[in-house]
Amino acid sequence: MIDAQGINKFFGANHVLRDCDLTVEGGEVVTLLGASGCGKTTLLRCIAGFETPDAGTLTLAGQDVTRLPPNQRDVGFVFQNYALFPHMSVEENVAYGLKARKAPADQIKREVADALDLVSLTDFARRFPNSLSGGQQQRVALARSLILQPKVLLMDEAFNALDAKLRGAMQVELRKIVKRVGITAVCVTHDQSEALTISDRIAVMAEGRIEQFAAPAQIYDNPTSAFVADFIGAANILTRDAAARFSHAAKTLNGNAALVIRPENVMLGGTPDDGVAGKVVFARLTGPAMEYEVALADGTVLRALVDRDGHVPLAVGADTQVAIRNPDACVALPGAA
Amino acid sequence: MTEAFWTRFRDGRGVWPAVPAFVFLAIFFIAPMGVLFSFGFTEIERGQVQENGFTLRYLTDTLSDDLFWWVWWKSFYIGTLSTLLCFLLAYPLAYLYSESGRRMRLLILVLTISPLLTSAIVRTYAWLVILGGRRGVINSTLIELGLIERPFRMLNTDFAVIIGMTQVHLPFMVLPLITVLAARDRNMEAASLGMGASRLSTFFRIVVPLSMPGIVAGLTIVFALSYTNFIIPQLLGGGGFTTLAVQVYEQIVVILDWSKGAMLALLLLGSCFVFILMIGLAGNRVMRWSVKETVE
Amino acid sequence: MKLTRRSFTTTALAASSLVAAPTIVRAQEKELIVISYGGALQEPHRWLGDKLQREIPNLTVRLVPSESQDIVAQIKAAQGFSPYDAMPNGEPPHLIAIRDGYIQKLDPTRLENYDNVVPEFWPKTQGYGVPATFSLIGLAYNEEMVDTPPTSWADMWNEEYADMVGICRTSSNLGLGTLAMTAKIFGGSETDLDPAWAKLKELNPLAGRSPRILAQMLERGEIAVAPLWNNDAAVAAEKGLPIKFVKPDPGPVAILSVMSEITGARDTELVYRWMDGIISDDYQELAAAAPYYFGVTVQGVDVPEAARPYTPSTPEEVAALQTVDWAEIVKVRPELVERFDREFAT
Repeated sequence: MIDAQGINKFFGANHVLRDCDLTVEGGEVVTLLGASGCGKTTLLRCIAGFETPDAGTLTLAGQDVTRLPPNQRDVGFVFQNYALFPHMSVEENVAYGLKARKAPADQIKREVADALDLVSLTDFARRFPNSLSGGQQQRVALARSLILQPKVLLMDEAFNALDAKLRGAMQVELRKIVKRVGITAVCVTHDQSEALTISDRIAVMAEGRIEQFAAPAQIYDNPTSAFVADFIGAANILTRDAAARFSHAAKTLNGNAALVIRPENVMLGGTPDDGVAGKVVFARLTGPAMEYEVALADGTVLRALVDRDGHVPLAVGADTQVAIRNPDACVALPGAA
Repeated sequence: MTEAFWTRFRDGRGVWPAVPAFVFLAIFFIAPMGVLFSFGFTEIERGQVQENGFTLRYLTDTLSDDLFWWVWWKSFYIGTLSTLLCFLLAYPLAYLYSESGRRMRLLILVLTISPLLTSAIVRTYAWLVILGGRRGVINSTLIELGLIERPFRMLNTDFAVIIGMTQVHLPFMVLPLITVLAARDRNMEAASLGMGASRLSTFFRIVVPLSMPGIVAGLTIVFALSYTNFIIPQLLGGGGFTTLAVQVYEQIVVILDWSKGAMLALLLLGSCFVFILMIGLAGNRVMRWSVKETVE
Repeated sequence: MKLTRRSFTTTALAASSLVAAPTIVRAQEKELIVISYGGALQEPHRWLGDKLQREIPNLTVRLVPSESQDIVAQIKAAQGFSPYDAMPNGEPPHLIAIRDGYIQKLDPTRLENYDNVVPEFWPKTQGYGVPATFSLIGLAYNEEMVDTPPTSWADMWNEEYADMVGICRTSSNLGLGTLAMTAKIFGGSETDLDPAWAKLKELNPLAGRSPRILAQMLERGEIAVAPLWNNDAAVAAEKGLPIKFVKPDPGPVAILSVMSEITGARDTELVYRWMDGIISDDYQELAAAAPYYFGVTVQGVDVPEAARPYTPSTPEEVAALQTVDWAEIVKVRPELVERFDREFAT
């Protein structure tokens, strides 16, 4: 559905997109994930047509749209702040695109009703956006885009404006709606849990490049770079020398430069035989699990996530043994950590 | 709302900082205004208020005078026309400002504000030079070019007054418009364009309605200034041109009839207030979306 | 003011003596504030002011160029506490000022030059102030725009000047004079002004808000012909502008200007010195000279040759001067001012 090849973009001397390739299948939900300034929003705006790439081609449903303006691309865009028109009611907002296309009045009426029903806002049709909650506003923005049946739905940090509690619920809700409609969607976020929740595939971006583009489980289990490993799930990344201490992990390392160990794969309190001595320097309760930071003798600090079931909490300053629960789940990386 | 206001008033919260302004206005504005307007209902002989001098004569005389209504219409028409002209000139300028880079913005801002630094009278005299008679810049150029034989009468016409007022009041329209247009959310336009609306329709359906607060502010200020201006009509309108503000001057300074002048001043200010209120109410109606309703 | 070392020393000395003996020094400081004309016509007043400043130590004479109607409004607003000491008024505002008590009766015994004045002028002052000068209302025209100059008042209605005639609002003496003169030549009078309004309306005139503005309109060529003060026409001609003045048949309107003491003047003695100066030969000679051409009110001052187009120079011309019964006009002045807007507001 979307095929971006070799996209490059400069803002002045700033090289914000470097050779980005992105292929999105029809009906797929893809998230561009990265820290602020990584170029994810620029890539999204290139797809939308708000920016034109300096190099590369962009194909939407087989049509080269690289130089087309936004209104000729057949894409829907949900802005970070939703960009609802405050001077129009909810139904006027939703009907805006159809009116701009000069659709017949009865068609507009029918489709607006359907769209509001889809996002459960039928009762709010005559309200102005200012009087809606953040979640409701987001659903209006969604309905406003979906009603035009675009080939692609683009969303820029669509959950940013919501408070933490609502965010999780809306992410689930959004995925359900998008999947029900079956539309191809590209989202942008800096929040890894949001990416994991709503995406079929995630493109992790850093410094204008796509570091890894894969399904969430793949990204989590098999990060291809230290950056990805760190950004998703905040993994421990050990240098070759540090990793070598863990005898049973050394074979996984297999001549590579660094080893990625997920915090939940770190085991505390074993015997000296199968572990390395360490000292707890930080401890906190995350809910179902305890999170520790443990300093090894050489100063390497490992994060460990320990299920509380049957676990006796360790105090800061306590000595313990650090081991790897499942060496096969560790990922070796060729580059430097 | 009123109850909250009185509670706040009793608590003294937020009231005390405004006291100096209240006192200042009371002494230097409200009191003199009160005195002036009371003249409109008082018989005055040679500067002395007469005993039992209360009268409605000036009110009824004025309201039943054809000249008053004619002059009122003139003030209204001149004020409205120059306000609209101001708006039509200022909006594109303010829009250009909002779409420009830093240097262009600075240039527009300087060009807009610099006339405010010269006095309105000096600027108005400049129009005398440009519009005035056969020696005026425009007429002498047209005659020189052989385009006309007899000079156009431009000075001492409604046209001259409207042009002069528009120029003098333009900054008061441009500045509020610049404020709202420069601060607007560009995503609104992007969203509109993205949904397939044309640039023109986006401008009229999104940009203009959203700049309504600035439009209302500009219209209000400029109408109040134009409707009550008495310098420009006197200098550019000629001896036969008269507006309510000019009539107030004539009555108080030339005819020395304070009561009649005060009554005219009262009607001028009162009607100005009504028009401003109407602009404000119309604006509120158009902008009812901006009132935040209770969130479910 | 350039502060040289010497003037600084003088100032410093003066300042220190002021500190040492404040009451004495301040008692000697005097100020006379006189309403005057605008532009070049102010110069004779300035000359007299400078002369008095030389004669009277510590005196400052300040001239306030202003239309007398503005001043009267200010005095009225000040409830008699006038910030001004003396003012010249044409006959209409002079009568109003007497009626409303803004000016003071004259004590002839305090004037050295009393007998200088042509005796016929004294009754016109009604016992208030001194006859300062007189001016003429005649017709002025822009010679670039007019082929045949007007020679009589009735010429204003000539086909040649159609839509090119200007008149002054009736808020000014010039406007009132024009109105009264028009009434007289078209069968009306000071008490029957309707014929004048009708004839003036027939002109479809361009109106000037004040005499000076009317003169400027003539200079700019917005109008070709207008009833105007001889002095304004003379000053314009002096500047090289194509303005000519005629004394139209049956004769120009002469209006006396009276210099009076304003009620509440701070130093009556000074005001009398000023008024005495106004009716002195020296002052009158200067005022009668180019480019002001004020009509003199004292005996024995010759009218200069250059003034002939602007002032009556022969006994016949003096006899032809038109006078207006201003008392009648003044009675209805407010209505006349309003009537102008009723007739001519565009």
